[in-house]
Amino acid sequence: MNEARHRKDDRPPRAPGWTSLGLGAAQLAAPGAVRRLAGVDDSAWARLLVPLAGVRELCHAALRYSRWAVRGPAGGTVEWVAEIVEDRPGEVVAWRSSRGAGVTGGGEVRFADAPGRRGTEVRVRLRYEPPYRAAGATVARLLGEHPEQRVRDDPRRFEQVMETGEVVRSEGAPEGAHAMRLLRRRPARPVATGGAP
Amino acid sequence: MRANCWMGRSHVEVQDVPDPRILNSRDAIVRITSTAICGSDLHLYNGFIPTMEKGDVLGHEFMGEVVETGPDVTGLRVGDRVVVPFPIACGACDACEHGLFSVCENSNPNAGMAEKMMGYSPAGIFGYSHMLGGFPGGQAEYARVPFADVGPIRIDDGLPDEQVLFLSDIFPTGWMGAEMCDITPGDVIAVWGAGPVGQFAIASAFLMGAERVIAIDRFPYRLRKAESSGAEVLDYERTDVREALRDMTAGRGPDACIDAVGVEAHHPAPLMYGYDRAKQAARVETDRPFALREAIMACRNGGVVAVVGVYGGFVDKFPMGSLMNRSITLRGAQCHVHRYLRPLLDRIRAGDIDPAFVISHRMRLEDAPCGYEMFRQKEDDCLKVVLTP
Ligand SMILES: NC(=O)c1ccc[n+]([C@@H]2O[C@H](COP(=O)([O-])OP(=O)(O)OC[C@H]3O[C@@H](n4cnc5c(N)ncnc54)[C@H](O)[C@@H]3O)[C@@H](O)[C@H]2O)c1
Ligand SMILES: [Zn+2]
Ligand SMILES: [Zn+2]
Repeated sequence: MNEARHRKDDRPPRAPGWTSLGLGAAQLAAPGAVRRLAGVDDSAWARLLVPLAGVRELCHAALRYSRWAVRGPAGGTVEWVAEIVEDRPGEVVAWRSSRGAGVTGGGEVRFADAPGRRGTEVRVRLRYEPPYRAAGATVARLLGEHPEQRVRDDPRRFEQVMETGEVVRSEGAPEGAHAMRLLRRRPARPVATGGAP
Repeated sequence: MRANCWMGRSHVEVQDVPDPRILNSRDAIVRITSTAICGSDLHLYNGFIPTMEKGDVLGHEFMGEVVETGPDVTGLRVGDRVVVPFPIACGACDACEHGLFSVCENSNPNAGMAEKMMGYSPAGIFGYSHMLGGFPGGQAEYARVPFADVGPIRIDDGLPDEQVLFLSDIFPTGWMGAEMCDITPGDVIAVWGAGPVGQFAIASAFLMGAERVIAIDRFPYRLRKAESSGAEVLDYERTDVREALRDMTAGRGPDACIDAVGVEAHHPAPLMYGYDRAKQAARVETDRPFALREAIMACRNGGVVAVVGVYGGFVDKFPMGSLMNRSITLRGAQCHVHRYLRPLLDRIRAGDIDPAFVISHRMRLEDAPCGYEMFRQKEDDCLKVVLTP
């Protein structure tokens, strides 16, 4: 990763969730696999990964510890510190929250060559356990009513970025794959200029 | 801009909506010069496809002129005249690399919704529900075309819109239906549905060397059109289709059958029709598979049934025993249009076929609601409506 992009940004990332940490770390853990997936050996791809996973997660993952602040849709914030506990390039990144964090949990991202050299398989596993009521409610809200869908969205966006260069948007789902759209839809008609998507 | 919008079952309205703008770097904005109403639009109009929202812009068959391109669009420039394929495909995923463009892995932002209905998600489609992406369609003055460097085909010569417009969907769809039949010389092909898709399936089957093509429908004007392409015809309201097919093939059955009818098939016996219609209304069954059932039962042993008629969900009383015991191959797909654009454009240029033969009505975009109603009711011998913004 380019040093210039390791700038500190203390604004909480917009709900990237645990998954993004994993996928952010993916580039660091398995540059080979990711590069093969992308089909190029160029740092331009690393640049594409940054908006997906968020600058903070990437650089903090590199530094072994990362401080997480996640904003729920209702505005509440949950913070915790995650620690990389396993890091085998090309195979796995695993993390867990440090002791004393508001949220306990962890996860891992595994990479494997698909059979017949048909690309790279990415597996994400997440575990979280909110100890306090307030934090628990926020985390639950964050994951929404479709936690599995939520976890699936990130790998989907990841594949889009790797294969097409960006997250694919539609007027009905301007933010791209997002579990939220299962609940609240906007019509499939152009978004007014200047209006928030 | 003006756009034809879905406003609920049996209700479309031409409204003012914002102009589209670039959302992804490989988008292009196309100013639409011709667009058409498809049998697939009728499924939306009649409320058979889930996850539509009031206000969705309809239309997936369109062509026009590129007026803006995103920063990463290559091979396409402002001013280019293009036909746009109805499935949206990235060109880079495993499916696209294998030519399976209508099941592109990356083009449906709402893949999660489709997975719930279908297991895995197909590609996004213009103007065809939120489950298939939430993309506004092309029955409008302008449309945003994602992956503009992958889908649209440039039409550089003076071929008029009417000859190339149907490359966007129905010509490739009919062609793919025939291709799925693995036609060899001497084959007899039966086609259920003599709508625009059926008409192209008939013409394509002949171009591929079928000996005989038998068209099945109940509208005389549609059957006459099929006859003019060289097909023999059966009116399913007057004839017992399976008996007739058996006779015509000396007891063996057609070598392959194409279902160009889909979810809203009609049945001449009120009781049969009522059975599935009631189940549909009660949401126990989503699709009325009369043509499909009949096609399977009628097909020869070891034959192929190619499904290009659109189905949305689940069917009842599926003749599985017939299919399994008689070694029948069942195939289906939303058309992988991208595959066929170049070869079929060449066919048009060579004069092998003039796709304009299906057009029965030309209207202004403003008259889309009237066009939908005529097409649904098959009024005034309506076969295919082309709209001009
Ligand atoms: N697979 C694809 O990519 C694709 C693309 C375009 C259209 N389609 C589908 O193809 C189908 C046909 O489209 P179209 O534009 O020709 O529509 P259409 O409505 O004009 O034609 C359907 C025809 O089927 C006939 N029909 C109804 N019940 C029948 C029965 N039991 N037996 C025989 N014929 C029967 C109707 O009389 C009508 O003429 C639709 O389901 C449409 O959604 C699929
Ligand atoms: Zn169509
Ligand atoms: Zn693709």
